[in-house]
Amino acid sequence: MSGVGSSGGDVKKWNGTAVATPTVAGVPETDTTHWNGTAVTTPDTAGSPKVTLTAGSGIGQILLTSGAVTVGTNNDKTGYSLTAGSYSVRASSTQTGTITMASVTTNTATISSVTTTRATVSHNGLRTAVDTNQQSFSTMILTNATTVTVTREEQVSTTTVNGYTVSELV
Amino acid sequence: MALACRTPIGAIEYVVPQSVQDAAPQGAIYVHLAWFNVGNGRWIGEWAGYAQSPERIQRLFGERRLHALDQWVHHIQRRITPYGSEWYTVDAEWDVDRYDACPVGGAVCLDVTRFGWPVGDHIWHRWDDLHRLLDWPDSSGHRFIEIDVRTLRVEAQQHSHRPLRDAVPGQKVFDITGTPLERAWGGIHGRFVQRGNGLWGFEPDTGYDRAGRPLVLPAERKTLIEAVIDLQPIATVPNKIGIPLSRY
Repeated sequence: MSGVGSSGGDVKKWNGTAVATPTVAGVPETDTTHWNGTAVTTPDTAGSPKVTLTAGSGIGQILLTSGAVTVGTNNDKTGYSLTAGSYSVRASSTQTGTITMASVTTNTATISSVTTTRATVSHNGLRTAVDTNQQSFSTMILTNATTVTVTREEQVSTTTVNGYTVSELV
Repeated sequence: MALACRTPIGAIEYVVPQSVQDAAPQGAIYVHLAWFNVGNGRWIGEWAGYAQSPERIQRLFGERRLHALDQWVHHIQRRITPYGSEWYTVDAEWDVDRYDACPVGGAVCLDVTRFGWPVGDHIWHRWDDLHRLLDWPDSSGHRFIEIDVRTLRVEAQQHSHRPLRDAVPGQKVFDITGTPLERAWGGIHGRFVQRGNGLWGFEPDTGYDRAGRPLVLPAERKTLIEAVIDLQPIATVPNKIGIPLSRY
């Protein structure tokens, strides 16, 4: 018999066994029992298929090592915890030293860099055998961020040692 | 290499000039970061450069502002390593061994921009994680001497918890911490001399103060005369943290 048009069909049995009543009318219900001829693994949780991941470093794969998942190299040494956006410091930074003068009227010493607008230098006195004011008394200034300079009126060969302290508020 | 520039009088400065900070591109900001090991508090490294500015932080205050700042520092520092940075690097200094040995979560990153110090200046500092304190204890102090390269006389003796870098033309700084000379620090008055056998030695001054006390005490004199000193570095260009004398 042949003809043009459509004909309806209603499946009632598969291989002699009655078709299961679908959950949603009109939507045939299937139950996977085998993958490529091998029985499906019994799921740990009913309704959730049990899946084995394919190891690899390609797209869509996960690199697995001995049961552990290996992520890319983590260069963040702080981890994912908070860094210290707010922290405390000592109230000031202090450095000390001496400047020696012999046969000069001025001499300069190097210091650790400071911000001159919040740093001060104090003259901590001097040691010398010189007994004239012009050759012993001296002034001391913070010349710039990295030097301290001591100056006296007259030079003398006798060694004079000047002490200093530089304090910077931080 | 600490950022250096010349002052009008010819001295060398190592602080960050305002011009460097002002040169940050649109949307970026100059920032100086320092990493420390959380466990032992030791310095790991520092980085300074231009990084992405924090967004919308101006509208925040109190705890929310602190939290946003913390998140911003975390966002910036995660993209910086000794081997490369996503941001533009102005200066950096690292202890690569300590960095590689530090486990994830084992470090803290601090924004140290406000100090205005050169990169590398925190190298001897310690992080106290319990008290959230960046500290420079006594153990962080180093002792230095400064020598006139023409006369080889000791012109200055310094003690600081931060590095000293050559700043005076014609003078060089030496870090004597851990050397035999350190014991005599404070009384190192005199000059270095090269003896007949080619070895370097020290000739202390013989001066006295008004009370008749020698400027170089007998114990200091003995230490200085007997110290074995290698002054080969004096012939080289200045490095950035004072030239450590050979330790014998």
